[in-house]
Amino acid sequence: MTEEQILVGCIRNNATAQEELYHRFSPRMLGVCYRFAKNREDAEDMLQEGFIKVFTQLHQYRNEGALEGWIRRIVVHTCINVLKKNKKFADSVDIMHANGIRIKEDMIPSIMQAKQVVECIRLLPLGYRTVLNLYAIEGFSHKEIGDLLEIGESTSRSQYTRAKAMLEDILTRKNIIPKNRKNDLGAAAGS
Amino acid sequence: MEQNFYRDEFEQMLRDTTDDFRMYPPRKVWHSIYNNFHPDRKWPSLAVTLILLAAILYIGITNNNSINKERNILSDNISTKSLLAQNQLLYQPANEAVRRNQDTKIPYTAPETAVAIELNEAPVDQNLYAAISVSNSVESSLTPTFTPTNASNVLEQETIATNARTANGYSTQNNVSIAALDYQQQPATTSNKNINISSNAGNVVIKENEHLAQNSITDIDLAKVSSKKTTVDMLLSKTQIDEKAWIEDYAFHNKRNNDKWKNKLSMNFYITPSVGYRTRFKNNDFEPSFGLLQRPSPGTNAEVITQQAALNIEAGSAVIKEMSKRWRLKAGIQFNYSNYITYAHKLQHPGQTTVLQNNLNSGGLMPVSYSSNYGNVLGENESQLNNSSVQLSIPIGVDYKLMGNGKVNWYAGASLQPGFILDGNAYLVSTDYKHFAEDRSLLRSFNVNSSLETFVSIKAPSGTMINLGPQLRYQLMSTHTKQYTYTEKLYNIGFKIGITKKL
Repeated sequence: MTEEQILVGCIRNNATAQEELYHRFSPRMLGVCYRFAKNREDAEDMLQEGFIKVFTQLHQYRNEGALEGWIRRIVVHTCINVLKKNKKFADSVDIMHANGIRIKEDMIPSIMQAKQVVECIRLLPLGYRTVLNLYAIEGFSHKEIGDLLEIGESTSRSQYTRAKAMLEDILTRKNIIPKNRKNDLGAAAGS
Repeated sequence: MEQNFYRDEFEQMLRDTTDDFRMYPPRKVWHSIYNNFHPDRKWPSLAVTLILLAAILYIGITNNNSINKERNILSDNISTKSLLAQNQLLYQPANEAVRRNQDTKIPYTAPETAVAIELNEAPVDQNLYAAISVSNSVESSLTPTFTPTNASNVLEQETIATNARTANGYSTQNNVSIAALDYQQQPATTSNKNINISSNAGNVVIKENEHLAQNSITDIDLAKVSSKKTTVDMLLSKTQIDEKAWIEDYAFHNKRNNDKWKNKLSMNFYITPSVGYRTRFKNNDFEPSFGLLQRPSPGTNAEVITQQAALNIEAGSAVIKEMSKRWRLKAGIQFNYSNYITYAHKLQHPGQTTVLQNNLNSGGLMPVSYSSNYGNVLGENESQLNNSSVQLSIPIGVDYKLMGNGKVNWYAGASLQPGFILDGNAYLVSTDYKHFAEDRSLLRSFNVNSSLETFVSIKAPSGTMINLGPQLRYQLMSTHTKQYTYTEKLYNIGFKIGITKKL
C-alpha cells in the first residue's frame, strides 16, 4: 500500500488504511511520547489520543513536507496538551524548580544507546525534559515553546541551557559522550 | 559560529540517537483507536441483542397465553377428576371405625346459606351404617377445607372430597363425607341412616345410636356397599351438574388474563423530522486577556459566531401498554440525528489556535492548542460546518388521552430519552473567537433528552392508528464534556408521524 493510497483510505475512514498507517508510524511515535511521558502507560495514552487526532485531521494534510513530520507534530502537540492537564506541570516548568537536583550514578540505565539516551533524557526533571525535547529534538523555536507552554521565551532558553548541561553530565558519566567533548559543549554553552 | 557548531552537534547527536528509538505499542491501543472511528462495527452485536430481547419478549407473551390456556384446561380437568376421584371413594369401604351412641358435632366452616336435602329412602344394610353428608355452602373463605376427621369429640369418620372453587371473591364448597359404621352392632333397620345433605349454618349434627368399632377393609362387605350406589350416583350426578354449571359460570366471568394483556399492548413506529438548534452559555467566569487566550469583549462583533438551525430527524419504535382508560406507558428504541450549522472561513493554511478548557484535575483552566483550518471571519471560501451527532436512545414515557371516541383520540405525551452518542462532530470556537477547532473527543458519550408532544390519533379502516402531532425535544445535558468551557444544549421543534398497531 503506497502512502497516497493510505492517505486516501484514511480520509475515507477505511479501517485497513488506518491500521496500515498506524502500524507504519506508531513505534516511532510511541518513542516520541515516551520521552515526554511519565511512564509507558501514559505514553500509550498519548499515542492513542495523538492518532485519533491524526485520523480526524488527516484531511487537512496537504502533502507539504513528510507525512511522518506532520504526524509527529500532532503527536507532540498532543503530548504537551496531556502534560498541561497535569497540575504539577505548570510548576515543573518553573526554572527554579530543577535547581539542586542531582542525578545519581545508579539511576542511569545501561542498555543500548538509543534507549539509553532516551532514558537519560527521561531522568531530567519534567520541565527541563519538555523544553529539551521540544527544542533539541523536535526542532521548535524558543518562541514557539514559549507560546506552547505559556512561558516566556527567555525562560525557555534558560530551561534549555540547564537541561542540556544536566543531560551532558549524565551522558558523560555514562560514557555516551567523551569527557573532552562535554567540556567543549560546556564551553560553547557558557560563552 | 563555534557556539552554533557545538550546539548543533549536540542536538544532532540527540536527534540521530532518538530517531532510532522505537517502542511497540500493545494491540489494545489500536483497538481503542479503531473503536473510536468504527463504532458502527458494534451495531451488529447490538442489533442481534435487541432482536434477541424482542424475540424473548414475544415468546414470553405468547407462551404466557398458551400456558394460561393450558393451565385453565388443566385446572378444569383436575377439578373434574378430583371430584370424580373423590366420589369414587364413596364406594370404598371405610377403614376406620366410628364410635357412636353419642351426639357428635362436626365442626364445619361458616356456611351461610341453608340448603337441606333429606334422602330417607336409602337402603341401609344392617351391618353397615353409612352416613353421608353432603353440604353445599357458599362462603367468603377461599381456602379449601377438608371436613374434619374428628378431634376430641371421638367421632372418627373418613371425610372425603373437598372441592373449593374460587370465583370473584366467593367460593363454593362441596363436602361429601361418609362414615362407615360397625356392622356387628348395628340392628337391622331401614330407618333413615342417613344421607343428610345439610348446610345449616354452624355444625352438622349426626346422631347415632350405634357404637362402632374399628374395621378393616376386608371386614366390609363390598357388595353391600355397592347396594348404596344408586343413592350415591344420584348425589354425584347432582354434584357434577352443579360443578359443570359452576365451571361455565367461572369461565364466563373470568376470561383468560393473557387476552387482557394482549389487548393492552400496542406497537408504535414513528419518525419526526424537526428543526434543531442550540442554546450556549459559558460555564466559567475566567476572562484571560493575553495572546491567543484573549476573549473578545462581550457585545462586540468579534464575539459573533454565525450559526444556523438545520434539519434533524428522529425515528424509532416503542411498545405501548395501556395502564388505564387514559394513561399509557411507552418504551422503545430510537435513533436521533441532531445537527446545526456553523459558518466558517476555510483557511488556505492551517493556523495554530487555543481553546481554553476546564482542568478537571485541578479545577482550574488550561489552554489546549489545536491546528485549525477554519477561521471565524466570513468571506471567500465560506464553509458550512455541521455540528452533528448520531444518537441511539431508549425513550421511556407516558401518554395521556385528553379526549377521544376511539376512532379519533387526542393525546399529550412526555418522555425521557437516555442515549449514547454513536458519532458526531464538534467544532469548538477558539478562546479568541478567531478560529474553529475540531475535537470529537470533547463530545459527551452519554446524554439525556426530554420530549413533550401532543398528537391526534386517527383510526384507519385496517384498525391501525395514525398519529400526527408536534413535538418539542430538549437536551438535558451539555453536548460537550465538562472540559469545554461552554455549555451547549440542543433543542428541536418537529412534527411526529407514527402508526400504532395492537399486538
